[in-house]
Amino acid sequence: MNFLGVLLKIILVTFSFILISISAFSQNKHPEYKESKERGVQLRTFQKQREEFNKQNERAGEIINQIKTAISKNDIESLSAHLSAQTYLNLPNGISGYYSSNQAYFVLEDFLKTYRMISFGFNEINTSGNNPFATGNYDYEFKGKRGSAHIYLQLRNSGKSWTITQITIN
Amino acid sequence: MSAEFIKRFRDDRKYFAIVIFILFLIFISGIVTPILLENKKDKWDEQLSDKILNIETSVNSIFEKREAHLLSVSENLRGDLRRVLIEPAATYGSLIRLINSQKYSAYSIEVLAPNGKLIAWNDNIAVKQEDLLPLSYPAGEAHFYRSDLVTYLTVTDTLLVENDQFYYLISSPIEKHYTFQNNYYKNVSFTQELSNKFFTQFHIDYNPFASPSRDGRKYSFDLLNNKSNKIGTVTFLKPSLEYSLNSLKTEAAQIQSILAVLLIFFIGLGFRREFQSLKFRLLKFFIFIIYCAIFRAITYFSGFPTNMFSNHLADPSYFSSTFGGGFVRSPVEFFITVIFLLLIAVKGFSYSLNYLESPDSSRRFKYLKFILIIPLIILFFLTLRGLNASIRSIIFDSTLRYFKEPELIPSLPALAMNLNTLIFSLSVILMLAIYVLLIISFLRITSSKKAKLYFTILFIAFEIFGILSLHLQNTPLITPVLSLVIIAVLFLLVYQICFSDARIRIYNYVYAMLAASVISITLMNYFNLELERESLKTTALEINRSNDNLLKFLLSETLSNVAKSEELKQSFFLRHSNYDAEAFILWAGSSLQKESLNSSVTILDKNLKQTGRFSVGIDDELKYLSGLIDKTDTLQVVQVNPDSTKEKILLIGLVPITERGIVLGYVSAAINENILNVEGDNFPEFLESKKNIINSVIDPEQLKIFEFSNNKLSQVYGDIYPSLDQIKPIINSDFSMDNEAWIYLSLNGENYLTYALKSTVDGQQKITSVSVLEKNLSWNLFNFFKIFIIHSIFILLLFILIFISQIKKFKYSFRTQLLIAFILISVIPVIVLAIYNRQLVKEKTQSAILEELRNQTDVVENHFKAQINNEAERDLDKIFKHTAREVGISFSVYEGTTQIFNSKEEYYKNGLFNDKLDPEAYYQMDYLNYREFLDKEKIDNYSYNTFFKRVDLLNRHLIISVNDAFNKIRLTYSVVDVDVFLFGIYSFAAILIIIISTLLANRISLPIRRLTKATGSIAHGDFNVEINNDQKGELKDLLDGFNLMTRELQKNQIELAELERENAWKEMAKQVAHEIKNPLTPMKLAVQQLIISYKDKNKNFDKMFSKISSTLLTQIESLNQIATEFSRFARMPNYKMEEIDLLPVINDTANLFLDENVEINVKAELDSAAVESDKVQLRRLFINFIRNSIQAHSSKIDITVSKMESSAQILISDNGTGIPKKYQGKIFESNFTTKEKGMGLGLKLAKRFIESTNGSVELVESSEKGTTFRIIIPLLKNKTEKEV
Repeated sequence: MNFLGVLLKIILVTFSFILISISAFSQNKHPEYKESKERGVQLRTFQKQREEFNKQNERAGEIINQIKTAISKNDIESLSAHLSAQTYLNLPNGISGYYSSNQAYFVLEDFLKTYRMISFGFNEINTSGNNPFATGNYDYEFKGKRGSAHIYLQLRNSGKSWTITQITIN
Repeated sequence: MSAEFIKRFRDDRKYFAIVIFILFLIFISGIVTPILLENKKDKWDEQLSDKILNIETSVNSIFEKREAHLLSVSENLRGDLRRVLIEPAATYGSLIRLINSQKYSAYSIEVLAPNGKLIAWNDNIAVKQEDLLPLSYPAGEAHFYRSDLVTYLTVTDTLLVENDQFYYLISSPIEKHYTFQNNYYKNVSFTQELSNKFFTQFHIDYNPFASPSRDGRKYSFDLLNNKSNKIGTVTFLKPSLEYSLNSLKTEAAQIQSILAVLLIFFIGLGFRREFQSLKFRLLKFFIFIIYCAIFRAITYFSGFPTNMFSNHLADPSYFSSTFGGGFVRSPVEFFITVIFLLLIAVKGFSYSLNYLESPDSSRRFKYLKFILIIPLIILFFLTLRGLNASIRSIIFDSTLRYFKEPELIPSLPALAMNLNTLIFSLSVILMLAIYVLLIISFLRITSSKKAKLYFTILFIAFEIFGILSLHLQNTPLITPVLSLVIIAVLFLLVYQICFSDARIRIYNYVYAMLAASVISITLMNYFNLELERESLKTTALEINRSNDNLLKFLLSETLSNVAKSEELKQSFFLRHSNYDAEAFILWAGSSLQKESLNSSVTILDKNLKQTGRFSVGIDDELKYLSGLIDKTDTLQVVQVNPDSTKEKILLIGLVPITERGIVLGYVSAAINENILNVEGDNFPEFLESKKNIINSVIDPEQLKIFEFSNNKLSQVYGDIYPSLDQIKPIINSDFSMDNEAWIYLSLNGENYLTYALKSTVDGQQKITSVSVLEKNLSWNLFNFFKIFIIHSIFILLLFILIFISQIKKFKYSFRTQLLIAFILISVIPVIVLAIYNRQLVKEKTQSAILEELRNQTDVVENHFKAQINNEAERDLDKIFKHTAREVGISFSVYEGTTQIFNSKEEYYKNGLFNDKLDPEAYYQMDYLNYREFLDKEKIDNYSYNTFFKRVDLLNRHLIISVNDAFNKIRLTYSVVDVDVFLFGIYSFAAILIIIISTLLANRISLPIRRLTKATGSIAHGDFNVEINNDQKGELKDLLDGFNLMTRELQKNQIELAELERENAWKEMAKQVAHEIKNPLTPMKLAVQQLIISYKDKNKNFDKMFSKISSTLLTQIESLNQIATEFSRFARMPNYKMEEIDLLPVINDTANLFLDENVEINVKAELDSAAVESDKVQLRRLFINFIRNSIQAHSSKIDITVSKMESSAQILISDNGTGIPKKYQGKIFESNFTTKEKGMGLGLKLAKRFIESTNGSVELVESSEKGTTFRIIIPLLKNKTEKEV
């Protein structure tokens, strides 16, 4: 194998790599990229969308009800759909702090599995303002022992919809 | 029949018998579980009585053990005390040292003189002095003592010393009545211990007069002491049928899951032979991947082993990712997944190396392979991106802060995650190495003479591809510099794999682990920086999270829980309740502590007069209580604006405490929240919650936080108060749809990354901005070493494991001796230096703390004296109070052993801290008359330093003490920080030393090893060996001498052989002549006799003719026989035929050429190959072929042994210059040679030898790219070869 031969092979591989990579990586578009592309357009129509957000405020109550149903049915899939990128959790099993949506999914799944719900409900739902919230009671059974806790749920407008920023069960 | 059946389960098939048994067990457990459940339901009443009885017996037994242990320690203490008090040479110091010794550190000990005066005590004082005498229980009887915050199991006893009766108390905490949510809190709760053990709710009344529960769902029994007296009542909730059934179901499911895992494991073992007999490596590899995937899936879905763990390792908060459907949902699940991944990677790596070494690898599918290079490169960069994304997830999807672990050796979850990260990175690095190795093989780089040059070109190409691929990605995860570094480290590893000594190839895994460590830490560090940037956002969110809705909720929740507290209600009925302690217990157990909020809890009597209080960071909130007094019958919470602004929120609430409708008193709680509490400055470290939202990622001291209301700066956190110009970029930021903006702020000439969050509160626009300074290099190095210390432990463990696995091959060679010497010489000083430096730093840190506390004490003392001089009317109490208010230092003042003032009195009044002088300080300052003393003290798991100083004020002898529990001391570097740098650098140095020592030992011992090998070759008859001599000095002379000696030996051997041959011919000629002479003499005589008879016309001539003819013919036959014998003798050398294994012969022969400039790969598809042959001749034959290849300028020779029908096939392939076509037909002929010094006998003799063993040898192919010979040798029929 001579030097020129290897060099030619490497050049050929380089070009082929570039050609194939362009198509391979461009198919693998990250959702944030799409978002950022759309962002430019969205900024132009900022005022219009602000009005839409005000309308979305009405949806907060609806979302709180969906969350309530999800917790009642132990349906972590539905609950996780409303989690923010960073959700603050404060639970009786010692969990306390901000969790990524990936973590929050399993942390809540574990909690609902070990602190088996006996009864649950919101007794106050407030959907006005920037931070809609709901408070209620969560009665549970944990390792044969029964307990009762207060629940506080808070939402935040993440631009497109309302997401959970905080779940506190004390 | 049964024997036939059993025969089916021989060898690997025996595992199927286990599989059938496991299936049977699963089946049985499936049938038995419902029966057991039904049985439990039917006989529940009967079982319940047994269970209750069982719990009662067990609880009594547990308590008795604990009590017996305390009594035994008490007996030991009595003996020790007697010795100390009786001994004439004993001093007060001996007594203090005894009761403060490590042996009694878990107990509270108090010693009283015969007059009832407390004379000695240790750090933990349990029983108050006023409660010591008269004794509430007879001596030697165990009982409970409730202090303000803790209930103790106590024994009081007496000790007679020379007619004087001393008293002593020893107490062990059994129940703490307060809880913290932080890492320093040490939980002690007998109630909780029992609840967790028996899976039901327990309540223990540590009171001899407590009555049993009247609730039918509960069961109560008396707790008796060692004298069978009642000292308490235990009440527990009767076990429920539902829970018992669920437990049984869970246990059955766990057993079935273990069985399922075992099932798949033994199925794998059962098919091992079939798997091994598969010829195609790729197929084997895919089957292995599928098996691992199935195995992992079964472990995951069966919950094994996660269900067996109840500790942090199974906690998803430490790490969980939705990737792979939850296969990495906790540290332990991640561990199992990465183990399977590692198995696959190691298998793939091993197959790839085998493939690369096989002689056919470079010949088959040349063009297809060339095309495959492109997908391989793309796969390489996709895998690299996968590695980056995974490490990012390890940082982002975890609450662990790997670089902020407080200790050198981190917590168990962090340790496990570090191991997981290392294993995962190792697996990916091996995969990446496989791709590069395959590309190198497809390009045939290593077989080229300019291998290293082409390798460098490929490396540069990959670096360029790396940068290109980042440009092509829409959201690149890493920077181009990082890409360059990662690819460089990876190529260093591949270089090591490609060009290393084949015998130490196993150590490539150590190098791979080192590469994985460097790459993973670099990535972790990089993504941690990203996380720190992200934490600016979290901080802003956290500041905005604490809105009035949440605070109102927390306050209401706290007060509603307080209203239900039975303990608080009981305290209202007791005469001497410590309400400060009660307030502290309520505060510590509430969300106020959990959220580290500036808050207070105040207990009020029914006339709303304060009786007890605990507060942190909040002072005069009770003046706002008047707004709640109008409506005191229910829980109320109101918000007030203390500064008439909206920035600071003060919420206050009140709840009545009632019993059967009668108001016993009230509890008020308040929260005051603003951004100044970001760092929790008002909170002593031991009280701060483990939440540490901001602390967890970034040091709050580095943060600069600004809050704006309607574009006006309203609050500032940090040491920079910005100018209007400096804050303009924040106000004018281009906020996104999420109302957030990222900007760079220039503050005091430094660049700050800033996150700004906009929100609207009560119609006012609010902006919260959080800024942090860009990091410098030394900080990143600190991070690198922080993790590398942990990785180095795992790398050394792997090294030791490999070393142990290779111990059979271990030789105490010259190289090993050199290596050991190098390591000893270099590592020992490193260890000594590390220990010395650590000790030095520890001492320096301690003296820095001492100096700081001494300075603070001096400030306090000077302030006292200044007031005495300037404010003559002030008494000491007033002076202390003024000082506490004015100097901002927390301090205590003692007179004798009694505390007369404390600026943090709430922590002493509630009993969290002792108000008695530290016993060591008392001894040092009162008995030994020292002026100063520094002591280390502890509260739970929190250690702090206290400085004591004797002062004389207004003719009173006092002691001032200042500690760092309440006065935070900022050290430039903590001991742990220095440990990280020291041990990080030293562990890195140790690994580098081991690598460099190995390389040096290899290099220095190389000529000796070559010499040893060459000597071995000569001993085996290979005189063509020559050592390449690139050495200098004595070694050059030695090797030159050896080469000269070899050449002389070779020359002498040829001459000797010729001489021997000549002599042999002469001898043979003599023998032939002698043997021929024997029949010739009778023949001559016979012929002479025949002539005489003929001449004499003898009448018996005919008869004589016939006789003589017969004699002649006999002699001629004899001559013929002699000729045949000599002919046979000449043709047939004397072979020593024996049963031998071909493989060791070939391997041994190949090893003779290890130091020659040729790579010889021996690959066997058989475990053994038994043949009947002459070992020496066979070895000579292989030497001949290998030497021919070397002389044909080959750089690589592959010898493959396989089975062909009933024979062994040996293929010898080289990449030499080949045999010209015109000569190919003549190579096995005598006297044919193309070599200058050749005799043309080698291949001829080889062919003759092989054919004499019923085998064959042939030339398969030969071209300018190489030559392949095939040798066939019949295998011994009775021997069964095990195929690999």
